[in-house]
Amino acid sequence: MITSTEKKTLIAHLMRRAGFGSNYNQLEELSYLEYDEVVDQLLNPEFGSLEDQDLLDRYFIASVEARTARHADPQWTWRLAKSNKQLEEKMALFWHGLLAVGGIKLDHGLAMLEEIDLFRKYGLGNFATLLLKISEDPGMMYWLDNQNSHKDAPNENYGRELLELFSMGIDENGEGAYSEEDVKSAARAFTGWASKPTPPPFFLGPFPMEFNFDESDHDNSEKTFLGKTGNFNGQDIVDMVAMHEATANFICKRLYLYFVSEEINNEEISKLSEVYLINKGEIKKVLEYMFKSEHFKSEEIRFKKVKSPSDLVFGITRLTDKYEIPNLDSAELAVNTLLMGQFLLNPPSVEGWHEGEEWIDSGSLIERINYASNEISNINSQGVKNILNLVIDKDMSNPEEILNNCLEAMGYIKITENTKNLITEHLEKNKFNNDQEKVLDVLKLIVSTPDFQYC
Amino acid sequence: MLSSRINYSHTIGIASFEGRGFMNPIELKFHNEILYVLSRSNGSNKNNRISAVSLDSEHKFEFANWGEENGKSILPTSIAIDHKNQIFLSDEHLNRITVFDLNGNFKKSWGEFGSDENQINRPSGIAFNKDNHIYIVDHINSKIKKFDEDGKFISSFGSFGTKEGEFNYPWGISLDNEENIYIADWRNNRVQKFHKNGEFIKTINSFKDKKINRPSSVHVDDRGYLFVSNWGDNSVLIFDDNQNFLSELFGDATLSKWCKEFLEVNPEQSSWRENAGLFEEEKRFWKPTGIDTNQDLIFIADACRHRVQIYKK
Amino acid sequence: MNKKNLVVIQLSGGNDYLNTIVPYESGLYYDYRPNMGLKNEQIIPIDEKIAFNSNMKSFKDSFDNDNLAIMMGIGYPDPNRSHFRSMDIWHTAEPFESSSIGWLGKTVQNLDPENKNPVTAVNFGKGLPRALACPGVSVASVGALESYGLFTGVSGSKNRDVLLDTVDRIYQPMNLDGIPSLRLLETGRGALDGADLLSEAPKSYQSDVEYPEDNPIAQSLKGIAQVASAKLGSRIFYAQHGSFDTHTDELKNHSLLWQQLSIAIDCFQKDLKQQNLEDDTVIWIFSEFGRRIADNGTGTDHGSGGVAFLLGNSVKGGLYGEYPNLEPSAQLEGDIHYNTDFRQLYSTILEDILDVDSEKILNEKFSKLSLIK
Repeated sequence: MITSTEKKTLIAHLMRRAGFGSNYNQLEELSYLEYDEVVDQLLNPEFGSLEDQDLLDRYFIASVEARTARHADPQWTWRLAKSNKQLEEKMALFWHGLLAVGGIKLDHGLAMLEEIDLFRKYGLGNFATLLLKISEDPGMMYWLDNQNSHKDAPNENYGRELLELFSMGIDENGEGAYSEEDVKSAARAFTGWASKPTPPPFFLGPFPMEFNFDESDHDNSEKTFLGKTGNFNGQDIVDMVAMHEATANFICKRLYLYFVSEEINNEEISKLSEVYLINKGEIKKVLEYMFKSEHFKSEEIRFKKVKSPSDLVFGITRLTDKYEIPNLDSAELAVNTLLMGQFLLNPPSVEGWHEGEEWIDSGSLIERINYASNEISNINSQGVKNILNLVIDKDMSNPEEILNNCLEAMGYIKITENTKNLITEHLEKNKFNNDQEKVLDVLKLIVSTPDFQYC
Repeated sequence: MLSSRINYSHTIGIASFEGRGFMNPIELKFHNEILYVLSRSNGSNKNNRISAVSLDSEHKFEFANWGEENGKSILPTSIAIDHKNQIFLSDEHLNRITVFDLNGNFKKSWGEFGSDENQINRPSGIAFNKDNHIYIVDHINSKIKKFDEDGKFISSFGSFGTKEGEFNYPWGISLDNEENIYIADWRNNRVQKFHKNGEFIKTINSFKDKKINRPSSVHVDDRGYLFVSNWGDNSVLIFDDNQNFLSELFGDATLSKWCKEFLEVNPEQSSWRENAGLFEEEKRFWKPTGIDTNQDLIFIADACRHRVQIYKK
Repeated sequence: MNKKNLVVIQLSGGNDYLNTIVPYESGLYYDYRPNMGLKNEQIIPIDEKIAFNSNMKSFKDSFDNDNLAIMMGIGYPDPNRSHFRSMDIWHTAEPFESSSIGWLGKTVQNLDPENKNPVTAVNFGKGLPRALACPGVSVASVGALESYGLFTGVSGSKNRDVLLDTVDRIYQPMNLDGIPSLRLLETGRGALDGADLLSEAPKSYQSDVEYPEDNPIAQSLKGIAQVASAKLGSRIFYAQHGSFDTHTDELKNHSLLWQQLSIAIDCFQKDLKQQNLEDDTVIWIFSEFGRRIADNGTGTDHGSGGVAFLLGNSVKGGLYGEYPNLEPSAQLEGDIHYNTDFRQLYSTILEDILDVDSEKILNEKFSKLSLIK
């Protein structure tokens, strides 16, 4: 029989990975459900507009006509910090890093927001549908130069990245399960897929981008792709690609790296690929299998993944429950992830971000520690008040107990014995004016540890 | 009948982060032949300011730029000009009212954050009555508060809710000649009219067969005609002095003088524009907000198109 | 010896070349700039054709002392007029491909392959410019030296000290047990040590030079002088100045920015002399692009091609390249054409200033410019 603490600890693990984490009170609520029910809830969000969309628009009017990616920030970061549909948002971030479009080349904040919404809407659905939607996304077409791909002069950029980075992938030797001929055929199949021209934003602000299929600029001749021959259009390519074994493996590997572990486990990944193929590319089924597997739930998986800057920043805003309605501070949250190396709405290249250990360098670590220690000791935040109340209500005489109670109040997190001992020593050897000071020091130290950089 | 007589005049504005032009103009006042336009920007982009321009697009000066110091602003919401030729500016980040002379020189400021009667939490629209008292839409506190020009609290009315006389994130405010008060009760999708003592008079929430959607701003002109920015649906509604619906505007903008100048020196931008050919879309309002009038003209701040559309009455 | 320190000053926003080095004998210049052509007391002639903007007094002095090299018409193929993309190209030295690795970050990796010195490169300002970004490379990014490091937001220095003490004890390689990665501990170690080194630097620094308080670039250069004088092995310093994005009100804003920079450079050079560093330090000034040849009434819009400067005792002063031709037929969509590839300058900086094999950084050999004595 699993104890209530064990259950909460497990659900906390799920929420850190499938979302940005839940605080103590939220975990209390969630623990009335069975673990599998929490997974189901995460997997089945209702797509729809945000409750506070009108407020965001009112307070940050420049984000309504988001001219650049930076102007669009207040819109997305509010959802990352507040949305109750945590997996929907976490998946949007996943696809944003995989089907990556860089806001700086695209230079169109509105189109970036449209794309994130596309990921929310289709990100948990069928992969073929998602690939088709992203191929019809005007921002993507512009980013990968498909508007320069013509019937008589196809540009291979989109065709190549579609196969190499978005679906089938390549191995360590740069070899894919497709040939250069396949790249050429894919490029030809996507001729005529482009964004409509829009007026430049420099005098009236931006105009929404729109997709356009130009039949007259589409190569209608016969193509051979992955061994099949026919008069293929982009949709045919997407359908063939999505159901390819290499795609199943590639997408499942990326999902595994993002949600489970940075250490590749081929056995687990091939189980996921099988689920993918049996369910014809239904992402939700793969995630369900993944989150409900004993492998994901096991102790050895927990606290081993380096938090991305978004995991850290939005984990902290959720833990401290800092924002009730949008304000200037919430609008600037993206600056914090940027200083830690993640420029939201502007991944560094079509390859997305290099995740894992690469997130951490000395500059970004200093930013992480300073940001987290400031926020966790901001006693104006409701979440901090809650933590203080929870801990101070319990035994305040024993340093080890104080530390354990802090870890529990912060959402059932774990740190190593060494770190524990050093924080306990800190409490023993320093003088504090009151209980609050004591607890705040523990909180500041916890978020500054190497342990806290993992989720 | 006004609806048949109302004609588009011209447009002033260009998107610009500083100097000549605007960045998300949300409020304006026409006074002594000068149009004062409040650019909101985003707070983090720091391009907010009040620009003073002439009707023939001469950029004269700007003030109240980004900052916390005296005479600066972070998230400005509204401007009003009192009977002593002073410009008042509300700021919902600093919870502050700042007073300038007509040349934009700082005179004084006041305002205290909180929920007590003399405090404010995110002030939105502001307007003056004949006694030179200022009404502030204290929008998070769901109250309309009256202060003297130095910030001494006089009275207030309203509370949070959806019933008559209650507010849900109210925004703009205007007074008619009899000092009746009109409030854009934004999240309740209606305009409410009150007697100057705060007594509820009526609700305006529909026109033809449509509902008002998130009204941002209201303005009553010298004849008692009511103008409502139907922000949620990107139009401007005009009602007569009995609040009977007359007309709905969707925007008729032509290229402003500044836009023409820009396109002349940047021919490739001009050809991109031609190539896109969205000339109808270019005319339309996008999040219209502040409205002002004089005897002949109607000025509409077109927030997401960085311009002021001007109509003849 | 080719082992000098490099001080980078990035003019962010796109510096207007034509009003920096002014072609004051060209009728075309005044035709294209009816509202903001500089003349008379607004310029300081260099020769019978071109002049400095009059706000660049210290540049004129350096030029007369043969310590200022002006690269007239520097740029890259297929100009991009977006600030970010263009800056990316300068930062990554990759004009054609999008890349996330900075050319100076790669250089740091080359200078310090084992990542032993956390202050090999020091950036002044919030956030690391992409030029210095490179996986596995530690670069210190400093707002203000005195308050650099961890827990800068914590009130009360006593509390900060005790917290730092405990954190210092946590980030020790011997505490690996249970932590998934040694690298994280080592990075933390580097960050803490770097912070210690840098926050100590101002204590040993002595100078008579007074940098103006209200001049941000002067304050950044003061920080650089402090760190350089502490001889911590730093080779690359980075600072930014701006915004040069003068679409409107250019006459006022552009002048003020150059005035600030001119004063800052003057202070810095005097200081370098006092610190005995004047022969070992080269300043490089660049911007992501120039601006349109024609003005727009009150300012100028994004253009391409621009000017860069190298400054220092070891620099061979003079004019390099040709001043761009403003004839309509010679223009590139209303902009000047570049005549020197920016990577030629980079290979010069790498080999003759930093003593690094330029091909390792740029993946290609570019012909160097003869700029260093």
